[in-house]
Amino acid sequence: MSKSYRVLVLLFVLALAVAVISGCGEETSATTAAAGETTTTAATGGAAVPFKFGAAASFTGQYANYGGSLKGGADIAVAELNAAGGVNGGEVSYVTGDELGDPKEAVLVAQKLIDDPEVLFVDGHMFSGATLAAGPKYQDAGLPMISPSATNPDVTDLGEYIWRVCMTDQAQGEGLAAYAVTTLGMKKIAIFHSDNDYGKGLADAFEAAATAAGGEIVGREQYTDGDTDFKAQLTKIKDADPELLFLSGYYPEGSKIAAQVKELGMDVQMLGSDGYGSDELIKLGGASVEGMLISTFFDYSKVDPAIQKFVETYKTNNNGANPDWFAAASYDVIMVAAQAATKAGVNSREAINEALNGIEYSGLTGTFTFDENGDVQKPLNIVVVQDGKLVTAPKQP
Amino acid sequence: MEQNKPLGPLEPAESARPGVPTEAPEAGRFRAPLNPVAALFTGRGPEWVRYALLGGVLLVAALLPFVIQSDRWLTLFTIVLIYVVLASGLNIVVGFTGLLDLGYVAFYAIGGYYAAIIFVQVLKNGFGLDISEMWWLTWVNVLVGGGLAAVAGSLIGYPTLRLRGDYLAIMTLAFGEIIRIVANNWVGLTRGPSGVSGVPKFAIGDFVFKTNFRSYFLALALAVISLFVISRLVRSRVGRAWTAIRDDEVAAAAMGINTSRYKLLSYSCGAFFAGTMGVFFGQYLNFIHPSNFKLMESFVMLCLVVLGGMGGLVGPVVGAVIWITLQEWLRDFEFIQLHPEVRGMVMGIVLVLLMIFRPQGIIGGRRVPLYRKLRRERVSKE
Amino acid sequence: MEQLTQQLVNGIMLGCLYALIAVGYTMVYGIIELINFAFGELFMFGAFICIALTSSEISLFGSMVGMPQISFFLAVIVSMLVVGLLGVAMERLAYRPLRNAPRLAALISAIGMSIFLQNLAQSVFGSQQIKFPDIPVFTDSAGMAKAVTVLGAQVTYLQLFVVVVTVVAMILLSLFVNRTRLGRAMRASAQDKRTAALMGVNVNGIIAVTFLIGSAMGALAGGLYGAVYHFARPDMGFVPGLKAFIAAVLGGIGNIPGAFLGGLLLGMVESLGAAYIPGGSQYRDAIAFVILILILSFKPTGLLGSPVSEKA
Repeated sequence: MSKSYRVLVLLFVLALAVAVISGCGEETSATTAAAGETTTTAATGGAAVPFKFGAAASFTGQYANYGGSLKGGADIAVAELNAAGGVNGGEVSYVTGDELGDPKEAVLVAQKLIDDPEVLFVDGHMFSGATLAAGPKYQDAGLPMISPSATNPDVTDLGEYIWRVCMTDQAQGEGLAAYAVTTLGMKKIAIFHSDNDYGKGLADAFEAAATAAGGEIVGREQYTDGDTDFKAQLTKIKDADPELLFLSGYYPEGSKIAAQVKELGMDVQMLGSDGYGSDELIKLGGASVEGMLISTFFDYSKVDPAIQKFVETYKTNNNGANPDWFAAASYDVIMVAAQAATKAGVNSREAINEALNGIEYSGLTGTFTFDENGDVQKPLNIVVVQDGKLVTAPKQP
Repeated sequence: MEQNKPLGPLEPAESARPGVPTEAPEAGRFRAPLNPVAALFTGRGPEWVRYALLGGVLLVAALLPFVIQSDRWLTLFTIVLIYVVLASGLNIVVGFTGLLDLGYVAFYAIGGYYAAIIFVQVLKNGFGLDISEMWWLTWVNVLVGGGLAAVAGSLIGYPTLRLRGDYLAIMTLAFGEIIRIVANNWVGLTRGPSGVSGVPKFAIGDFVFKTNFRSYFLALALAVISLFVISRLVRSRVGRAWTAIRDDEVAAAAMGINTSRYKLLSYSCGAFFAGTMGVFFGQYLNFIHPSNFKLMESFVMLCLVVLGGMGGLVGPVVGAVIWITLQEWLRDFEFIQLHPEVRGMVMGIVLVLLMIFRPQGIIGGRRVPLYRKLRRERVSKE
Repeated sequence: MEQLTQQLVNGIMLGCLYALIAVGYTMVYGIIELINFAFGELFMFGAFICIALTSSEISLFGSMVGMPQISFFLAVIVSMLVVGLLGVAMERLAYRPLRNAPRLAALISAIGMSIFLQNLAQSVFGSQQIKFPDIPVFTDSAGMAKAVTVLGAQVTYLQLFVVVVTVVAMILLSLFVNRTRLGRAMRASAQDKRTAALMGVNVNGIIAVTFLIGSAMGALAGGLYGAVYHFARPDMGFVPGLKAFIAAVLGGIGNIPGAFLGGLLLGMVESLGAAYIPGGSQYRDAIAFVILILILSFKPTGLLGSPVSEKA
């Protein structure tokens, strides 16, 4: 290996890197003007304390899509708040912390956000594993953390600085079981769930509640997050011949499951958990998800002006993609924190945390207040896939 | 397929790259080099230079928390120290004995889960005891967790004894994955994907290792002890047997070394350190989750070893410090804030470039002197 | 009974996909003995390029770009060419400088390439998975996969196509390696590069050709995999890459029929294990790993691998 050759290699790689970086640079200027503003530190409000927060999620790797949604929702909230003159006069901005859904990385991200005195609260973390690892750090440091999507019951037990805007697995599982058995009148039910703690926890809650309500669980199978082939488990479920197939997990696997259900010639009503509530499901599942019922806390087909405005902005920012509930929940997290800060009149960690108690917030994912634990109760909506769109289902719980 | 070279993957760097002058001529060893850094890296030069440098590094490490005063960086350096020990432990297996292990994370997981299960699942939930009073157990756990991992190491090592090269690698990988899958699904024991929270912190009576400051010093102490033990281990008769197996297994067997026994011992010793760090990790974060022990972790640890330079004591340490710090430091760039995937791209390129320009690692493997002589003779014969 | 035939069919179909990935993997693996971690990423790029070419438009760096919307079969061929060249470039830049270095250095370089390419793909194509356009030949007007029923088991046309492609690819590659001059040069280079060079073999050229073919096979597998599961995303290559590695080792490193057999076996074990072992769906991957360990315990050089001689 001659020296000149190595220099050649180095130059090539550098050129590649520059090309990529400049490519990304174009994107910033072209599409997300909101994102561009977020990191500028020039304060517009003079001496006002900037309203800066941390967005902690997995922005790369296997779970990058969820982080992307979180960021998409956050960008809109930031743009809207800034357009309205900031929060308490302070400019709204955020820093990201990429934790890849990994508990150890989550702790590092938490520590980074805690160390930044300007960060007032955290929008994240998204997965329960990362949340449970990072939560104690926020609690000890007194930095409010509001999770858009960590459903594990243990999460809010971590302390008074830990909040979430999603419902626990227990509440959703019970609601869905009642819907399936009582409202739909389906007695023979099979469960197919993901191996992560959301999928498993929700499946457990659903199974217990459905059995109690008089349903019969004829099959329960599990898949691994990131799997693509589900036919072995689905064939087994097909053999049990259920009326309803309850799917507990996230949409990337969900679209493939639905396609394979159809490929196996199964005739079964599918009911997806709130992790399925995304346009991506339909985009990827196509005709095979038609007729699937999905539980959601964010029904973007609703004729609510706030929701429609959010959907429009999100579409403009993201090449026409519809927002999923992760994006909506992320938006709500920031808005509820902004409302708390406005109520308190001060931009500080302590004030925001104090004001979150007993706040009444009405947002994209429903109207809610936090209970003493930091949990919320929200109405459960059921949507159905019809003609390639998620629309409000005729039968609601 | 160079099947006549079963240990091919672990061929040491120096002799395999004739174009790269990494070793000075024999006489150079006794001419004290004036460059003290080179002396530390190569192990040549007068003893006192090495001791002075070692003392200097330790002093810097000990003064660090007083200088930086940042919880974020203290947390990071605590995690760096965990990886220092993990990489050094893996180096026993990969660098000194020449066995490619892609499932090293399994032992880390065993240690972590041991601490979590004994405290939360058995003592607290099983017997209803107050675990906050049992501070002494946090220390016992470090040894027991390491011991359990060591036993697992030799158990897992046993079926792999007949295997060579990549067949060995894939088998260790399989074991690593099996442990993680079991941890994720044996809900009764491990609480499955919910993870086990509430693992108590290290404590001596009422003195709890709660702050980042205290944790850092604890990690530093554990790392220093581990590195000291490893350095004695590899210079012992056992260590020489390992290097002999790495360099030429058949010759080693012919010299009367019980290769199976020493290979198992190597697995066990490597696993022991991963186990102790697993316990430390659990009692430091107070939370254990299956996603801590993904396959990628094994690759990261292997990267640290190769990056720094395997087969020496300094290499894995340098690899861990540089790599984990770089990973965190990159987060601060505004551009990466906006485009997080660029961090991965930069790290990938850095890894490739480092390997192209320093295939023997940043430090390069430092040989045990006895072996260096043997090696040269063998090379000259060829 | 119906379940059993369906499960067997599932196993064979999954196995064929694994086999197809493994066949490309094992070629490269055989000649330079490199655990090519970046193979999964080449596979991923294969799928993305197929999607890009068959769609009417696609999002690149966050902005929509019009695309030619050519037929799937043509797209696969183009993608094989592009990814083949990408593989050659990768070999030239990241692996060749390390050919005489310790093999672990090359392995780490491969891991670096893999990390880089995966994040590059996220930068280019975004983090959401994108849909594989329906292929008219294999889909009915409603957008559902066309299927036939064989002994009570449902098989889609696309799956049958995958089986045919896999078997043909395996046979052609075996013939190529065993019967042609180029193939002989490959085997010679694999055995001993220096001697092969002395015999007048252009070893660098041969390795480049191997990477070209192996990477193109990876792209083919990626395209078909994407079509079967209707998607592509930046991290899609990791698991199949790992499965290919397992299948290749299971069959015997560098052995093409072995890789085929290994892939098929892996698919069968995963399907039947998940279906018939109690709690099997939870431990699906673990069962496959246990079988792997058992086979390697009894056949330490894989199913069809030649025994490793003690140090010569």
